[in-house]
Amino acid sequence: MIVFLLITTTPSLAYQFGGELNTGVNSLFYDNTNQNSIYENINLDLNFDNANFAITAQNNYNYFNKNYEFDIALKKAYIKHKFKDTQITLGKQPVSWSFGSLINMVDYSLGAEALDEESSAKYVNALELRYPINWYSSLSLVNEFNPDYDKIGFRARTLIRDYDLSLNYINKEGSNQNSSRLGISFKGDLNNVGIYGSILNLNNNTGNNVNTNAYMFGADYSYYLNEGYGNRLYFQGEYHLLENNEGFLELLNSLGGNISSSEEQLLNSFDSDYLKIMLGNVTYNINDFSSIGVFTITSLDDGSTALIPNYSNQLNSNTTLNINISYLSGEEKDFFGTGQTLPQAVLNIELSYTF
Amino acid sequence: MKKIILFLMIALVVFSTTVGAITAEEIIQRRDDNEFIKSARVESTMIINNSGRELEKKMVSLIEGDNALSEFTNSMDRGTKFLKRDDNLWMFFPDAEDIVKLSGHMLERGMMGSDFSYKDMMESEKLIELYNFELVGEEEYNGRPCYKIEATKVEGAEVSYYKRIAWIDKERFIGLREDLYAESGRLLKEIVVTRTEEIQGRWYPMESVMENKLRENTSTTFIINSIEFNPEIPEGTFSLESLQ
Repeated sequence: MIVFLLITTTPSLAYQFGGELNTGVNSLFYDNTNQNSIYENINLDLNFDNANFAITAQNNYNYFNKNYEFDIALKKAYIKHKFKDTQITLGKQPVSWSFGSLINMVDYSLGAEALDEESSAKYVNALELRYPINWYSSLSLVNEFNPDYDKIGFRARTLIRDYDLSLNYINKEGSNQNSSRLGISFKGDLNNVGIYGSILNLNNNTGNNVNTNAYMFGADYSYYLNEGYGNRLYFQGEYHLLENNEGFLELLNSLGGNISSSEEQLLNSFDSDYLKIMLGNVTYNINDFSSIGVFTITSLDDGSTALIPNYSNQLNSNTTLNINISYLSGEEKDFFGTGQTLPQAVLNIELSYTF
Repeated sequence: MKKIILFLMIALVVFSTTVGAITAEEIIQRRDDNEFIKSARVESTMIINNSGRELEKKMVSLIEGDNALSEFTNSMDRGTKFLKRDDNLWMFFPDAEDIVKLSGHMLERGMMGSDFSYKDMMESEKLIELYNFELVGEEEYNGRPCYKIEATKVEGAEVSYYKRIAWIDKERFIGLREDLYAESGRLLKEIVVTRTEEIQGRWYPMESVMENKLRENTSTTFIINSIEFNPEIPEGTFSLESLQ
């Protein structure tokens, strides 16, 4: 089939080429020291009607340890082909099952949307079959090719009474880990408030067969100044409830990356039946070009918080300035705590140019 | 005999006045005939101006009834797509190739940072179905004789503006200026059409400037680079699949 696709899919002559050049400074503040690094990266995209290619290259120089790194990676390289009603994509491609949440536990890849940032976890070598049933309903089947594990995903998506609904199933089997996730998600409106949520069942059968459930409910709302026609204040909040057992460690990747505590410490540090996490995002549009906001993620069990204020300013049609600060308030043992491995604060200033 | 002549003259005057008078609804109907789009393919540019700074956005849109599919082509937003089906708006993010349904409250927001809200761009009903109209006068605007029409929203209609005052070209039946008001009577936005063109037998606004009166020194210029009325649109165009 792969050979057949490659033979029958010739990139069309119509194409779009573009990219983005980023340069920035990262400062990491630890208890006794700080580390600064500068970086430049470039993303290049070449899109045909039936094929997409994207590469990313990054230069990074760390002033603290005088370390220079260069990295180049293929981000996308896949072809598309349509057999009657079924769309097939083959190659390195993004597989993303977002529905508007800040953190998505029912996504194809866990951790793909940690803290609302794009991550390389979305890009996988896979074959995807998509079958649209009507304008709003579809079925998707993903078979990932990875030497370390076998992974398949299935998604059914539809719209009922203006609510976007999906049923997701992911099964991963490898030498280190066997697990499956079954989840549902919804997104819609309740009067002027956007609401969404998900329910997930994780079955980890690597060692002891452990079942873990995770629940999420979120809402977003816009408040417009000046009788509803002026600048906008945007609010988004999300509440996550994770059943506290061995299974939930796999889900922690979705909650903002590796925590300073070890897995064992983490398990021991929670004496309640559930891990409770609250996320918040407030953004104020200063004008048509710039916005200021703050993103927070808090463990309701120990009160530790990651606080991420941000500022964005579109300087012209091609150039954007972004400033982010991440601050961890907790102690070493806390869920969002600092310690030997994590800095207390991170400052990132980045200038992006698109072409 | 004199009485008969006088009667005939009066009758003639009354008759000719009746035939010549045009109602506000008829003016709007004729404007809708020009400006209301059943289906079209539009290539357009938005220039967002704020205190001397400018952003330019380009897009290609397919429109059919209540449905629209738009793709941005400028470098900053290249590949970003919107699908509008009835009152629902879906957005495609090109990097991760995600399709997300936008919450309803987001539709009030300025589209891609412009003074045009998503609702401004998406209102697809004919004005005649949304507002009650009154012809309040005739004025010259930019050298063109115009009807001045005041429109107040029909009770229960879902519209972005409670009241609109429009200057409509008497000869071409095209809106040349429109002031948009909140229910409190506060002026919110002003749209001025700066270029019109006759295309496929109908006059159409090709360039307009919207000023948000609640913000200082901001405006958005909307330029139609090309428009094709009633093009052939393949079946399945207005679907989530076509966003991908």
